[in-house]
Amino acid sequence: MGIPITIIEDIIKKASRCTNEGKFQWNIGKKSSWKKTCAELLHKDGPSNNYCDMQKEHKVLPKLMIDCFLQKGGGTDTISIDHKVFLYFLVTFEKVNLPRYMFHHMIWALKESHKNDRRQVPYGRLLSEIFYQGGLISKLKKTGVVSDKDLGTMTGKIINGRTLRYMNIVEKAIVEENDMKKSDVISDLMEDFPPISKEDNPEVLTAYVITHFKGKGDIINYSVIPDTMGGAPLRVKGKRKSKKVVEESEPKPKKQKKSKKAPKLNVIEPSLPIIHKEIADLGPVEVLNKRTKGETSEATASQPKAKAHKKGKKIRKMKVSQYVKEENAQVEETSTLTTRMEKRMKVAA
Amino acid sequence: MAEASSSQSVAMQIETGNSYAVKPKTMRVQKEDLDVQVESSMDFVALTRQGVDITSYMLTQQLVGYFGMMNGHTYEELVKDFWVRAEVYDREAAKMEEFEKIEEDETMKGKTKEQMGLAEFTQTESGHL
Repeated sequence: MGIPITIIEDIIKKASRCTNEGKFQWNIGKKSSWKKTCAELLHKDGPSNNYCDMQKEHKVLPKLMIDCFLQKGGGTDTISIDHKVFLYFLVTFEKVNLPRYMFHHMIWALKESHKNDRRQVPYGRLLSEIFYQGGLISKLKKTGVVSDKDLGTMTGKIINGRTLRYMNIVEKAIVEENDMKKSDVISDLMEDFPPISKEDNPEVLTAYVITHFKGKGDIINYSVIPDTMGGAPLRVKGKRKSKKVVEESEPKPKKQKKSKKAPKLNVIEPSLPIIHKEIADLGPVEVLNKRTKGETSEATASQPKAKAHKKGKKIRKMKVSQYVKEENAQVEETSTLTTRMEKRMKVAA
Repeated sequence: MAEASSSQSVAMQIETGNSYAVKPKTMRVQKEDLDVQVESSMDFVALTRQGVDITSYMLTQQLVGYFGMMNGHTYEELVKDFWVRAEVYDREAAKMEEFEKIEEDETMKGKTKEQMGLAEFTQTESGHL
């Protein structure tokens, strides 16, 4: 969009609502004494502390670190010494300078993207929060041309009892109704939006409008109410199955659409407003015509040649027949005239 | 990036009055190929119920606000748009900028960054135009 954004440590501090005080250790040499200290406390093959002997809390912390603080590609098995030191600080209740860690990690990831084509983009949520605080989201909201789909809106996963089950930390996940759900996520786009749509029952709509009027004193116009609630529920990051479904389902309808597009447009056209109609007349039809031309040529190429000739002949016949009809009519007229003349001549004779 | 360094409290200036110019990409990776990693939310209550209480660790780190922030939306497309155009302005980049300026104009040699019309390097930044 061309809007300049500058991200410095202070911005991250503000967005993440953390203080930039505390410990920060990075680029620790492999021979550093840290290695032994961390191994004793954290490493699963450490002399005094096996992974399975670790406290449950300590097992969750690496997961928390790679999911929330210093996101990396692999799992918890391959943790660098720098990450281990970060964990060490967490476990020993020492305050870390999280904004600095995050900024450092972001810069590292960006440089990796430039140099080694790294594809992972860390801190999706943090960056989104920075955009939100900078006023970009509200600005886009004002323009009214963006939807959740355009922005690629999604929510993160939730670490809860089920996650612990997957990690084999607990044997059974206890789930309760009051647990956090992805639907609890607060939307930045829909702040003052009425939670109703034209799809709702008219009685529900009137009830909502009345209560809104009583509460706030504004009358909600029918035209303001959105047609739909904005489509499907938001995506949750990390569910790859849905992607596959989309990929599989996408190519199929393409073939069917081609042949149906032209008649569909005719059906929709009358319901469109005049301006839209004009636009529809100008743009899409040309494109569609082109497509249909291509299709017919493809279709004729696949069909036997004799059929193609027949089609051509038919059209010619139509044109010729019109012309011939006119001619015939003229000939008939003149012929009737001559017959009349002849009759008169005979009568006179 | 020079002008941006002066506005440290605000990440972005939307209402500048100037027309926006879309910045070219800074990396080979295609936007579609990027994988945005979204931070996970934590359900501390559910974890405590399972016998895993990490609240004390997070309280030491003063991360209550941070996890509150996690409970929001991620705009994947915006993040990708940002990432493919982002560049790092650090000590190295500032030095490079200085060298380029000298190469353009020999008389600049020996002058300070301010005299060259460049902003003094203060801290590492990342951003896009």
